[in-house]
Amino acid sequence: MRWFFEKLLRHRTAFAGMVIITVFVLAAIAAPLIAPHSPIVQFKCYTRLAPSFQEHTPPVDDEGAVRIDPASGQPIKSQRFTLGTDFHGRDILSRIIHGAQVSLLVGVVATLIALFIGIVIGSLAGYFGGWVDNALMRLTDTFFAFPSILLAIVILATFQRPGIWALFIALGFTGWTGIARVIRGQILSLKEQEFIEAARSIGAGNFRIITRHLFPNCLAPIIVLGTLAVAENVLSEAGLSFLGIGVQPPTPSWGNMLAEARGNLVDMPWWGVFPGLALALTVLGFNLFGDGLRDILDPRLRIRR
Amino acid sequence: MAYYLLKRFLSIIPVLLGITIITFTAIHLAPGDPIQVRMGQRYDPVIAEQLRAELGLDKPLVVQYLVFLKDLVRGDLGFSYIKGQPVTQLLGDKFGNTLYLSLSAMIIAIILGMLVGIVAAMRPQSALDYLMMILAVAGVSIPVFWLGLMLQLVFGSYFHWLPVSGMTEYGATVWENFKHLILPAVTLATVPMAIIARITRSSMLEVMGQDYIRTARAKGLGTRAIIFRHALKNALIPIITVIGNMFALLLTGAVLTETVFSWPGLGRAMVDAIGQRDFPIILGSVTLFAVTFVMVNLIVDIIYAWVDPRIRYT
Repeated sequence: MRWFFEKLLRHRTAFAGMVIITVFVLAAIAAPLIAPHSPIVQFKCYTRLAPSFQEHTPPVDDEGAVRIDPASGQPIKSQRFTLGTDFHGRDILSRIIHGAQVSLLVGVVATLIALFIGIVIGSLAGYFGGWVDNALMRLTDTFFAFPSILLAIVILATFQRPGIWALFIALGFTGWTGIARVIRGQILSLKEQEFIEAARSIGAGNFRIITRHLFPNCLAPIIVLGTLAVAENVLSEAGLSFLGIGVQPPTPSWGNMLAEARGNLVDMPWWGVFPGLALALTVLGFNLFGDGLRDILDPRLRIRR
Repeated sequence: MAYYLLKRFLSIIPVLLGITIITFTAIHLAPGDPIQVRMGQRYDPVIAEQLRAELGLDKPLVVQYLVFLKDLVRGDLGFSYIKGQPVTQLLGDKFGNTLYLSLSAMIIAIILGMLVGIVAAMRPQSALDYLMMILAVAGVSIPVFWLGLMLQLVFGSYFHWLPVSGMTEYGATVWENFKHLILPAVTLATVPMAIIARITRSSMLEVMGQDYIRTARAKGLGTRAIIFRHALKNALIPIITVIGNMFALLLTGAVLTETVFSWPGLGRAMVDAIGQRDFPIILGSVTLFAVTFVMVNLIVDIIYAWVDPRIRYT
């Protein structure tokens, strides 16, 4: 384990990726604590504000008195909106911070589902060979032979009101093919080795051999592919939400923020610039980290993309 | 070779069957009744039943699927529930527009991607190499639709250099047409370009380290001759493989790019049809996407076998 961390610290781009990921993960976890405002509250007096570090003072009536907020009955407070507000007066910074929760949750859960399916199918095909291998690999080929996001769109179409759960399923059930192929290849090359024969000769069953002896030897590619898959799933989530078939507003997601901002880009560029920057940075972080892990863990591993 | 081609061609059939079965089942399991969407406020149960029978929606799912297959073989994709016109007619132009956009993007991606990769590989570890590769990682990570929005903002709204959306009307000049194409094509090309650049670089570096390149250099050949006449040919094989895979990315990106630039293409038609529960259009566009994608991969495999004689056709 120690050599791994030492190498990681020395690998500049992997380290940069790790820092980016850590920042976004912490922001997502602590979102309610660090977000300056609620992501869905609409400050009706503070709509369409450009980014600024200054506090915005509330509007006053003819006599110079601060207006009363009809909802709470209190005078309207002055507020600070560092990254500006949108058309409805929602704080963009808070929406971006809360959007990180959605993006990372979908990215990680969908990846875990895809990894599970891919590992099960890949190891069964590789271990048992014969007709099992043939049948499972034809299935994999069928899924692989089609851009997975189109399949995800079709799956999402079956949901009345798509949301975060629909995205888990749609992305998880379409993204496993590459993983299955790599695991199958790995198992094929491992299963003839002596330590597997030794395990079998002392009476270990198939299940035990796969889970205790073969699986640990596949961890390197699983970690690398998993990290890169998170990047891809975060991108897909944003894309699907942008098309209006992913996370639905008012729940903030970087994708649906960009969809809302699209028609107002000329008047309010900040509405579209910042969520996209957050998205690009997150994806970059996972890609850098994944590429770095590949260099460190398994330089021979190449994936088809 | 003929046997290989035939076998490769036949392998398309199960893939297409699989895709259409998945799509067909998925959209018919979906909540939301297309008849209800079509009739809207004037919903009448009696007429709804008639319509259902007319469109064949009252039959069992398996029968409906077989009817779809039977029509598909004759090149008939049925009628749109909403517009009532044949799907082939509705999607024909849009399919052409999508191909036009994707192929333009592909050409940009191949030319620029390989150029960047070769330049980076000529001086590995140099500042230029690092810069190129940082750009390549950034290119893979940038969300296509966000890039599109930003390009619109800069070149369309700020500088007013290029039109930001749509295609030209019939009869526009070639130059007008081209101007509408630039932004969407560049947007769509970014990700494949970055990937091609990375593959080209690593493939070139691998080839440049081999003995026959040293021999060529010892013979006194110039760098340009070595790269273009000797190295590139062998470096091309992994690049071609990646270009084939890239097409999946392009079609995917096309759905998003078309939305951003209001490009009247197949991806946009598909997403719109999902909102309207227009089953024949959804099925038709997915089938068209699948056929294109599978055909491109077939062509790539053939080129692959042709470029590298070492590959056996088995």
